[in-house]
Amino acid sequence: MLIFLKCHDIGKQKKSSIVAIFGIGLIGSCLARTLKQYQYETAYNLPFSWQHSSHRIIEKEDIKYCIRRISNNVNGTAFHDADSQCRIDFVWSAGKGGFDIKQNDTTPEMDSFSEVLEMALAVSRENPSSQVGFHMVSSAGGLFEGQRNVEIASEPSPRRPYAIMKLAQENILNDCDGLVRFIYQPTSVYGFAGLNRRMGLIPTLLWNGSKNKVSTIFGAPETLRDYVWVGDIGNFMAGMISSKTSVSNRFILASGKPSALFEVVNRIENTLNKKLFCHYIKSGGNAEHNTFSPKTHPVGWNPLDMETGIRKTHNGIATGFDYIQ
Amino acid sequence: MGTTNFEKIKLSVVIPVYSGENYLESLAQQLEALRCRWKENNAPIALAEAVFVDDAAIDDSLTVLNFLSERYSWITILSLSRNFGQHPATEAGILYTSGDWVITLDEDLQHPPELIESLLIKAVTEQCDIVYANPQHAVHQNLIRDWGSLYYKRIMTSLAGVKSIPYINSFRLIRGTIARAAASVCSHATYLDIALTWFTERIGFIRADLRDQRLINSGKSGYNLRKLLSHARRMILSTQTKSLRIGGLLGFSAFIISLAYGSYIFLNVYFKWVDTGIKGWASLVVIILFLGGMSLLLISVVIEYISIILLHTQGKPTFFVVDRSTDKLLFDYYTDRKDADLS
Repeated sequence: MLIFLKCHDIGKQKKSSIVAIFGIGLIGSCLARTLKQYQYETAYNLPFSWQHSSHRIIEKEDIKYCIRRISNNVNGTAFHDADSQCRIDFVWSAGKGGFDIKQNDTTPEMDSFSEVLEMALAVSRENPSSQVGFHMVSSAGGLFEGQRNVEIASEPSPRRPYAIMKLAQENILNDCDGLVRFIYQPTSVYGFAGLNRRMGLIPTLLWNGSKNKVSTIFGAPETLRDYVWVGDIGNFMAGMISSKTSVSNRFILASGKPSALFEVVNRIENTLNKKLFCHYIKSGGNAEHNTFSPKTHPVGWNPLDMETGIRKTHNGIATGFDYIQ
Repeated sequence: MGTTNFEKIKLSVVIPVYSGENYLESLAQQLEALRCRWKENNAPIALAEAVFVDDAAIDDSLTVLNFLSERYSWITILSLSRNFGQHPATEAGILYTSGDWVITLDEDLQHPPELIESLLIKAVTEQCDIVYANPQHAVHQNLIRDWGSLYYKRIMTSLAGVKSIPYINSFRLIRGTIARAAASVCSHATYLDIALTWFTERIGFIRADLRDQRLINSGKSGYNLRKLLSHARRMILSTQTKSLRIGGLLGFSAFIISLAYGSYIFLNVYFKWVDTGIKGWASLVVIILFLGGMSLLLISVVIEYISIILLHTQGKPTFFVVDRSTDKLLFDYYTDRKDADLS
């Protein structure tokens, strides 16, 4: 996990914004990079164990200690001092298992999530004058799987353990009154965050296409999905964090434009200027459509068009660009 | 037939908007009436969305659309950055749909929404992937426009070699997967209806009473001669093979003729059937015919290669898979309804 810090000078008083990101995957790493553009600086890079709860006991204390230390250094006051004002945001962008994880594998992630949430509540209790926000990255694709024209009022109907877990996490967070709560529900996210990280459909097609390798696609050419570029999510989340808003909210982060796999493949072929070797496997609900209405767009959300997003991703792969630099 | 336990077949409507402020409210009301009727009848199909594509409208259409979008949750507005024309606007709208069927309409009520069911019935009874509404009578009630349109389509049919051109109309029902696939491969120079023929040959049409009320009442039309010529150009470019192959065939014919005539002249010199009295004439003519014919033959080969590259860049697919299994639900529904005309 990473802890970021930004100091503001307001008259003689110094104020600070602290962001603790748990999960430096595709979205987390992109958010980290975007925060740097907002003048946040990396303060700590600390371990946070997923599998071993015994390790986490010490690690959580370390994280809390670091947050307290930064806050004290900036404000020159004790962490418990009612006059010290700082904004602390916890970001949960973690997810060890993918979309297809089994029920048993969701337990470690749920435990970790609950502990991070507890930590945020503890920090909030210890420092009542500061605002503590909790930003959770959920999954619109999982919660609304198989639904078309999803709107803000649409009811989630999770089908697989991953989505059930995400909904459970959302419910737990919604019950925490002491925090400013933000739930982000992105649709199918694509982008590139380095070769050592999990790659989604579009980067895989770009990578395999450039290497003349066969890509196996779970779905059918006509399967509709809603794709959002990771940079848009990073920008939106960083914007929400830096705005320091105190109003809890839930955001569906969708492009609002359904795209068939046929279209995606076609656009990637145009980008690479060569034919892709694709092998389609229709299995389970993978071939079901999942689309979102443009009316779900929250204020300030301006998703990139897919053509540009694919080219940016391709550029990232071609240059070996890593979001954590 | 009642439907309860399956997700309904979804219909998306796409309407490019350029100057339709006076018609849009009425159009939305008619679509809402159709949507409610299907809901009341518990039909297996639902009007899921209507995508209005604001093609840099020159009137107050966008304000009207914003008002309608507030009133009807199923309306989506897509604003293009500049005026791209009706076909690109339709393609953009199609790419924003997610329905099993996509219907494209004009903004000015020239295409009455109550005909949508007739198009659907035609599609499911004859397993069509595209159904056009073809006007029974003269659409524009203007001799020059109507005859012009008729002969323009006939000339295009012979030049392009696509049989469905006479039926092509912007009032069309398209299977959703095919509509989106065709729209996604269209470039600025591709004619949407020609791109659709790359994906299916199951094209039907119905005769309907379509009238261009805007042109009849005001004499104004969205099309002028320049735009029609641009349409013709795109149609020919999209169906390049026939016109280009005519050129290739001419080259090959000239080459064969040069060989035959050259052989005749050569034999004539040898056997002296006819004496021209001019020295060197025979060899000169043979060389010119042979080189000219050979050049044309090579040009025709190059043209054939260009055809292949052109089709590739325009996105013509090698194959495309389609699922028509849900048509039976609609067919059964309309068979059970006594008021539906399945003939």
